[in-house]
Amino acid sequence: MAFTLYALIQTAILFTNAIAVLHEERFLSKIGWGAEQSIGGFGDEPGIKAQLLNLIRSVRTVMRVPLIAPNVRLRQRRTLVGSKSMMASRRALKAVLIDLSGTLHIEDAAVPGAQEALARLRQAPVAVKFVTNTTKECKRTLFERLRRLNFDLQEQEIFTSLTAARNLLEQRAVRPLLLVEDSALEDFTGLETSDPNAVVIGLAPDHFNYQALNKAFRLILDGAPLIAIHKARYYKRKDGLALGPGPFVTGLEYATDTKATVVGKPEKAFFLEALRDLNCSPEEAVMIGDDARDDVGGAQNAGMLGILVKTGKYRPGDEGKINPPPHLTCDSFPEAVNHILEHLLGSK
Amino acid sequence: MAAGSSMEWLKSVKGVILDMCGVLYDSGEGGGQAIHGSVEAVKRLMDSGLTVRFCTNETQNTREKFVQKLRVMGFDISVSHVFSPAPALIHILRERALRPHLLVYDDLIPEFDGVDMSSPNCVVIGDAADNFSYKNLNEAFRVLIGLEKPLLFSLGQGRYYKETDGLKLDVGVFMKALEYACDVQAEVVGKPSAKFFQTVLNDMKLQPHEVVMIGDDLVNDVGGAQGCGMKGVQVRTGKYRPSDEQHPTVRADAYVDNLAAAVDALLTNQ
Repeated sequence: MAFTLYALIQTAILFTNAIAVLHEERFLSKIGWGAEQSIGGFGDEPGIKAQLLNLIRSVRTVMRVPLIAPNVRLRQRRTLVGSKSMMASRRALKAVLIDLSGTLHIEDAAVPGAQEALARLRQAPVAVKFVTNTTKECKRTLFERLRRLNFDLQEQEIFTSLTAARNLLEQRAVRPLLLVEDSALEDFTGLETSDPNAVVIGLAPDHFNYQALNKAFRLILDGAPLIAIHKARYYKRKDGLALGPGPFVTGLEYATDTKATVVGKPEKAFFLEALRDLNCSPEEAVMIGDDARDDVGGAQNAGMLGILVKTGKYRPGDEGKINPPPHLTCDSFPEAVNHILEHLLGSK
Repeated sequence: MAAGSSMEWLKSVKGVILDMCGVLYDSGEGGGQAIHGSVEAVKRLMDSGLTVRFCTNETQNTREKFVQKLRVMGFDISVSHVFSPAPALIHILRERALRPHLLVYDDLIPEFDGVDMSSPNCVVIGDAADNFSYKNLNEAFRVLIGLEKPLLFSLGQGRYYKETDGLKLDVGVFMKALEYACDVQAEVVGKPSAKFFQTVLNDMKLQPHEVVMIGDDLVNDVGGAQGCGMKGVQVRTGKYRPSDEQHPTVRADAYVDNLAAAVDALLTNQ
């Protein structure tokens, strides 16, 4: 590394900063170097220790204000780029989770450049999975739509909230009463549904009638677990707003005095389940999505990195609505892929 | 009567409020059937000199039709002694100049005769049973979310009640659903609202500590009554479930097998 003047100045600033941040109560006092400790009597010749302490305090007093500038710049650089020192505490990236609607495509049009970006991502040594919170479309429908738009993927790389529900049912070895739309039933084929001892609630207007809900209610009262695909309050239909599954799940929770297990985004369980068969921990994965709360917020809460793209349902200012903020906010999927390829793969 | 704890308070009881569904009768096919021993128990109470009133969150019928149904079962009750949420609500609607969108059982609608329901500025839900279809709930939701100040009234907040063919979801469940959907809090009219109980006490001209409420709903009947300073007795009929006796927050003043047993204990101690 060339020993430039700039590097020299940078080192000096960092060194000075290091001295200036030595905290009086939290650190110095604890190691016996506090203001009240061991300075010696009035008029005595100051010892080496006393002289050092004076130096520390002088640097702190004088450099306190000037050091504000480099510290602010340092924080900005870290948040934007993810410095090597920060990366050292994360393991190398092993998997990328990608949201579908709003991130790869908007309705029946692909996001410009998304297909090529996906192809480039596949060159890297990372696993890729496509994740979405649908309750009405089975995997096959989603897969066919993406193929029509020329995306290179396999059906088994798609992980939906319906898949998450199915996995949970299999794990617990229960027989579900499925209050889901007929078009979604395909994703549950193979599961035993006679004599149910579990209840699954998705978005199913045709099933949310008094009889069906009573049936679900009695099962839950008898001990059947209540599993919710997600708890959206309402959604937009062509003819106006319509109730989502959330209100019905809430009602049943109240009726039975139990809590539902919610399997869709932004639940931690959703992301962990998506990564399970990739043999990958959340710290080794990144999520790309257009929904600040459900995609990025949920993923980061599970321990992953989150990249927010400004397509789909993104609204200016969304990045400020979650805490911590997204690891990166960028224009669209291709830029997100660029960032991953340039900065997140790390040295192997 | 669960003995052991002090039953001294029985001596100072001057009035009794009876819940109806689950205490007097179980609802269901053909209007329902009387619970064993309840008809005689009510008669004994009426003859005892105690002040007796009936409190129900029953909203699948007008009060008149409801009392008629009970007379057929053998109960001797007059409409003026029955308190239900619908009349209380109508009073509130008039007071506050509100026009309701109704999601209630068809047979309750006549109670609202004369109430202006054009261009609704609030939503009212009652125990609508089969009327709780997605379509109807969605309609109520759209009215509610479209209001500048979403106002939701719920005739009671029960979780479930017992019919002859099993337990069924009550209005509270759908109240919670709409509350969640619109992020509002409903105003509950009927048990366990303190205002509702106070109306009954005023009519009885008695103080809360002189009155005991007998019901099958631990939280809404017993808990609600205790919240007003009355005593609350839980019967093991109707929607009662054994887990009610281990409830984390509500502890009934007594647990009895049925109304007949409650009246026995009451009258022996007078």
